[in-house]
Amino acid sequence: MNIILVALGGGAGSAARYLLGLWIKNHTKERAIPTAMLLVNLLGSLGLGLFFGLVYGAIPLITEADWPFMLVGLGFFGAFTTFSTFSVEAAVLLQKRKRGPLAAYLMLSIAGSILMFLAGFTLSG
Amino acid sequence: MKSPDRHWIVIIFIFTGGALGTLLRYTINVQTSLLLFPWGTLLENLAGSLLLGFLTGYILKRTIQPHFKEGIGVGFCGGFTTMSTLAADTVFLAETGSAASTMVYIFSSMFGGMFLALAGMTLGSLAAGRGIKEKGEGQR
Repeated sequence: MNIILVALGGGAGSAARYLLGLWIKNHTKERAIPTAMLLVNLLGSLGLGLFFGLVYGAIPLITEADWPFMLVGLGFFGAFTTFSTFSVEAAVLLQKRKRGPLAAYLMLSIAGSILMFLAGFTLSG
Repeated sequence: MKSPDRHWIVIIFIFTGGALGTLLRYTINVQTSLLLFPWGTLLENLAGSLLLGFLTGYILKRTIQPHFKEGIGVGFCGGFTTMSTLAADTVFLAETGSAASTMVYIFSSMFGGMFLALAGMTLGSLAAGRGIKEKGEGQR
């Protein structure tokens, strides 16, 4: 049962990330730092924080997880946000020796996602 | 311009790749759930960064059909790795673990991911370049 929920949530989250990413790319101009997946990651981290706060009032462990955790938490929000694209975009900035944009991109992505999660979690918890 | 049905094929491949990547992430997380440090998510994010780096380096020199490229990159690598769980792990670790382990988690994810992606890009480019050379020599 868990396997089906995780696969459905993960598939839907990945497709939603792709479509929202395309939409952002079409509606924003190109900047020194890549913005599409940055915005998706910030939004998804906020969403996971809201979800955990609203439904559990805590950060649940996978061992005590129920079906909404599998479908929405691990599946949808887990796959809606991504780390591999962040790494490749950071590596490209490093390769081009764009130090300022790289530092900003690392901070905005990592600290930003943590803060957005915390904001969602605190607001709803 | 991309026809609407081609677009749907890409989305189906991304959905499938994302479902498979997420299933693999789930399998690893279940195996590592009782540990005090989020080894599972760290491993997934680092391995996924290496793989997407490889794919990125490879397609700079060789063309792959778009639905396979997006299915593996956007779908599988994207679904296998995660930023929202990293954020949740960090907050959980900061509350229950030490400040040092929280910092180790953040920095090994961030710099480890970036350098593995770079290594993957180099390896992918080499793998694609070697193939092209061999093919070229064969034609001569």
